Amino acid sequence: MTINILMPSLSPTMKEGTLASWLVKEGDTVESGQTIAEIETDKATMEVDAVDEGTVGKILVEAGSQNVPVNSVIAVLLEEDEDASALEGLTFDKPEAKQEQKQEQKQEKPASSAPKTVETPVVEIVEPEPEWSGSFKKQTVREALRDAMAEEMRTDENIFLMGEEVAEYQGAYKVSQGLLDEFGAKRVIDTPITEHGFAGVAVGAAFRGLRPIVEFMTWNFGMQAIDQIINSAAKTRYMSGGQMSSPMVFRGPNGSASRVGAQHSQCYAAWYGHIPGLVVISPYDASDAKGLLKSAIRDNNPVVFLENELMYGVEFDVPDTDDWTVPIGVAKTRRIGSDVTIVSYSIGVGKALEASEKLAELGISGEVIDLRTIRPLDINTIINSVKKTSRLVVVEEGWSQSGVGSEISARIMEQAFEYLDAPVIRVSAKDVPLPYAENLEKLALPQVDDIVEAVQNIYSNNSVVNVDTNVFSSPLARRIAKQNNLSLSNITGTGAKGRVIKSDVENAIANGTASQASSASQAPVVAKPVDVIDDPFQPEHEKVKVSTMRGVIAKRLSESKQSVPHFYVSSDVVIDELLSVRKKLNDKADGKYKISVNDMVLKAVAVALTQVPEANVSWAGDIVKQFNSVDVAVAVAIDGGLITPVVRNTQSKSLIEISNEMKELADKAKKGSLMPEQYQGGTVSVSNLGMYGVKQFNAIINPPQACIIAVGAGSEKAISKDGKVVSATVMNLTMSVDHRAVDGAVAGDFLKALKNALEQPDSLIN
Amino acid sequence: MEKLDFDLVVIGAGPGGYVSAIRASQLGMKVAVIEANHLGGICLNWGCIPTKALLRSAEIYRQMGHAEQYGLKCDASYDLDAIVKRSRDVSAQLNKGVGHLLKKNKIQIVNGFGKISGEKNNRFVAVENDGKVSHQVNAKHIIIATGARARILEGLEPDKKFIWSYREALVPDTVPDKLLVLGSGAIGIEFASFFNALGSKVTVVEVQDRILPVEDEEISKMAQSDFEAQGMKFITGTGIKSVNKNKSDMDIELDNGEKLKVDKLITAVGIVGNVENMGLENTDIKIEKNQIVTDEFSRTGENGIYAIGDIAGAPWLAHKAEHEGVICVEKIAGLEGVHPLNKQNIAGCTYCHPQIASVGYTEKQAKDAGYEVNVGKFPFMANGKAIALGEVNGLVKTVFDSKTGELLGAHMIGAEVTEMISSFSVAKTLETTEEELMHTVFPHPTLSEMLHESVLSAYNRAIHI
Repeated sequence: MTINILMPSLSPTMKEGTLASWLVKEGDTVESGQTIAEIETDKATMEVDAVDEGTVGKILVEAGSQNVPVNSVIAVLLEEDEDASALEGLTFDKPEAKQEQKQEQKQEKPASSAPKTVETPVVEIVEPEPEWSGSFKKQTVREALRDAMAEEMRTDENIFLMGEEVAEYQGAYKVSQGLLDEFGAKRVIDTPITEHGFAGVAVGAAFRGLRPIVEFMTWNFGMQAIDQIINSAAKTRYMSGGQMSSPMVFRGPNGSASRVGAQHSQCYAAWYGHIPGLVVISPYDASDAKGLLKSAIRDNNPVVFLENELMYGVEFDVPDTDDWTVPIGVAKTRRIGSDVTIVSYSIGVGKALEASEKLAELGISGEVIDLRTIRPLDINTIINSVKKTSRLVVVEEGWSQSGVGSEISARIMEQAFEYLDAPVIRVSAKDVPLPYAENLEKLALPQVDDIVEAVQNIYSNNSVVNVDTNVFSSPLARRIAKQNNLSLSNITGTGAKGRVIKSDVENAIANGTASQASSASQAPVVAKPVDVIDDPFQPEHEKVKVSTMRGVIAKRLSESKQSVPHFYVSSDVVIDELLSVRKKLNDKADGKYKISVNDMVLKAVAVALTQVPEANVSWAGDIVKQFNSVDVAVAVAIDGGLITPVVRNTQSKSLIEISNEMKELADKAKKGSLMPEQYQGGTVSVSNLGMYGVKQFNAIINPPQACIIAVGAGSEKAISKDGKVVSATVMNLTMSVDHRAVDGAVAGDFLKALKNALEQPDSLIN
Repeated sequence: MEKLDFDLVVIGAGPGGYVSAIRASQLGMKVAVIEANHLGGICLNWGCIPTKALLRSAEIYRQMGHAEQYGLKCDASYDLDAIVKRSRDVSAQLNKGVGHLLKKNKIQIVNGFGKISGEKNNRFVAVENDGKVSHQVNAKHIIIATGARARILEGLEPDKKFIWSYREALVPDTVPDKLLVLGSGAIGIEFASFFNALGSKVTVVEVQDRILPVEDEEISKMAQSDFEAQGMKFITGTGIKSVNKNKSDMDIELDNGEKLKVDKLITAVGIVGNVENMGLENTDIKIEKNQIVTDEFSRTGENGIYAIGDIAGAPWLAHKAEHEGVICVEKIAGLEGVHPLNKQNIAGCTYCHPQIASVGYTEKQAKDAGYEVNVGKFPFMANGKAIALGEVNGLVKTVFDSKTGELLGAHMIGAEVTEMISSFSVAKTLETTEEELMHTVFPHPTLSEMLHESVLSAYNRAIHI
């Protein structure tokens, strides 16, 4: 390969310069370090040295050229085995041309009054680890860390461990138990009490190609080595222009333990998270501790690995394999929720989970995200969660100023501001050196109740209090409504002069007629009945209370119809062939099954979606999810409403399997015994009103799905076939489509495939 | 026989009956009240009011005994006949007052014994006088408010000489030397307190394991030790096995084997509803344990017939009967926003010394009902006004729902607590939480300040303790 020689930059502000003279000519052999040209700026003249050796193949910028842009190619070196043919087609981009281009670009820029877009850090999207399908073993975090090191050391002899007491004493916290025995004193090395010294030794070893793991007895002692970590390890790749790197891990317990005083209780996540060039990891459970430590050891960057002393002895399930890795830079959603996102890392995750249990009792559904990696920060996972919950609380054991939570808060403000219904709240250590006294220590660190309170405050600050101060109500009613996050404005008061009292709020909760009191701008979910005051021109009527299910259906479908841009495609399908195939199958069923037309529609939908997977999708804001299996949700009418049980992997099931499964699901639906996994998460819906003789109808999309197919009744019709009028049984299919995810052409393709599958039903029998 | 037509007829002119009648009249109904004995019922003639008059005499006499404590001198003695006369005069005065009130509200009073008669859906009240029907009173709505009488255990029938019910005890001709009171509810304790103040040696026998069994456990314990300090004796967890009447006294054996010699026995073991001879057996009105079964708006098993007050279930209190009657009548009149009576908001008062008053859940009831509670306590000893009055024995206890701040109950013992409990009734009825109670300014110096402090104490914020 040819080597490009670029116009060098002689100062940070230099944009272009003059190529004063060449000291070599084409055909000359140059050595690494040889001066080949002189460059002039308005301030100085400098020499250009060759970095590599080779032959000058071509000089692209002549001596004396002015305004040569920095980083443009000025000459090309040929390597030993190359000849001039490698240079064919090489030209120099004229600097003049580039400048014109730049000016054009400038003019295209919007006027200065337009809002500036925020420059967001480029985030590399890393796929999360696949779900482990094998067996698990119970392990403490301590054992998981030990196994991670041992397994990696077995596969790469360049890996070694050094630190105070790691060898003979088996580790101050016994994390290196047994490693000395297995790997010997050459690879498991006890160091003197001099963190700055041995960390430096390790950095040097990494420079020279070894892969050290440095254990700090605690990260508090690691402060001695902070210069080595930041200035030597983190910056060397940059300082050497990418020629050297420090593939190493610094690890040890971080944060507070239990009454070890202010100097020995610090969380360094924010300190090191601040530094470009470092990877910073702080896992919560044993599985992540192992998987992430292995990834850290394999990573070519210096990694700061922050463990927690109190978590060392806690047992978790760990995949039973010696090749379990967890990718760096991917957060993990540990609990799914809809009302508030709680982000934390390390020991804070456990507290966040506990808090979300308590919140659940208060009717608040918390989503808990475990950061796992502090740097690079997986902001996307948090943003996606906030899009759903509109509220964010960040929890950390470090201090709030310039903390991890502050960074997340700022980024969410920059990138997801419009999704927030409430300010982001940081729950962190109190702004004091950590007290030694047990009670004070507890008060200074974020506790479960602090998280619960923070979440409750978010709710109270922007909702009930503001909205409901004008509602005539008893103090107790107001408080109960507030605790349940309900708006009083939709509750009819039965107290004196219409005052809302305790029993009114309790009845509203019991009947599901209360509505959430989130932001003031949000319209009430279940609107106050229009005819609270009876319209005198209405006939007499019964007032049927809206059940919880009715309320949910009303809410979801209103949202769908109002927020999803629907369009409709419709097609008639001739089903005589289908009916005869169905009859043949059922005739030999022997009572083991009874296939319905609807079962065949489900199968046909699966066949068609397999052919047109672009329609098997879901709109998710910044991405469109395209599903690998066809999970068909089928609308089933039940007492007081409807529910959509899901037949999963329809594409790989036979008609008989589909039919029997559908029958079982419909039975369960009617008995009300469906489990959530049986009615949530379909990829497409089918609604069939054929049995009611309905010829054609339009259904409302069942979000987040993109398509719903409305099936009408089959009826005898005269159609034209091969130029003759014949009688046929015709059934209408009308599909409602989310235009954000599926365009007309795709919908048309799909409907055509569906029609084909139904009209040539042999494809349905497999 | 006279035939009369009304919108509403009320059988019984006790506090439930006459108040119902007046409220109905206010709402524009044409109303009659049928009364067999005297206006005002038991409460006014043989219950609440005359006992309070007796207890007032006892209280002043007790204070006279402590005159020196206040720097006063007096030679204390009493005239029992005059005490009883005053009590009767008070009742008579009020009895007259009720008559005026009914007249003022244009309510017809029909004297006699009312019986439910006629066919279903076409009922009327036949009023008997001397065994003959004197009036047929027709009305769209009939409220039964015939109240209750003392429950009498077999072998303990009042005989005027040895065994008294409340009735005899209200007009004593003598202060017994040794008195046994059976039953330690409000009635038993009030008589025990009265006779103890006048010098009787009083023993109270209670079948349950503590006295004042409906009160908070802590309060009943404090009450017992205060009464004992005044010389009363208590035997709990037992009843009377046998009574042997001698010439001038009785030998009484208790179920626990204990033997007592007393001059008189007052029986106060609860009440039974007056449901007999009223023609109820021919109706669809359901009777359980001598009480008429009603729904939350006092409706019985028959359309147009209602029952309120003591005959319609606990608590057997005049103020409960009055409110039940008002709610019943308002519902009949079709007023909007009528809520059933919340029995948790009805205070109960006992006018012994020290007084006892309570409303809502006791601490134990609240916990048994599944509440997590904040309990506040403030003793009389720490209140300036109480010390100035020389009434330093007592306690104000409050029970809050920790989760919502709802005032679940309040329990008090000490001077004037029967007057102070209403503050908490108002708070409960308005559904205030601890916050509003804390923000309420109570005047200084008053006993009421203790209510405030007790609330503060429930949230560890009490100032004066």
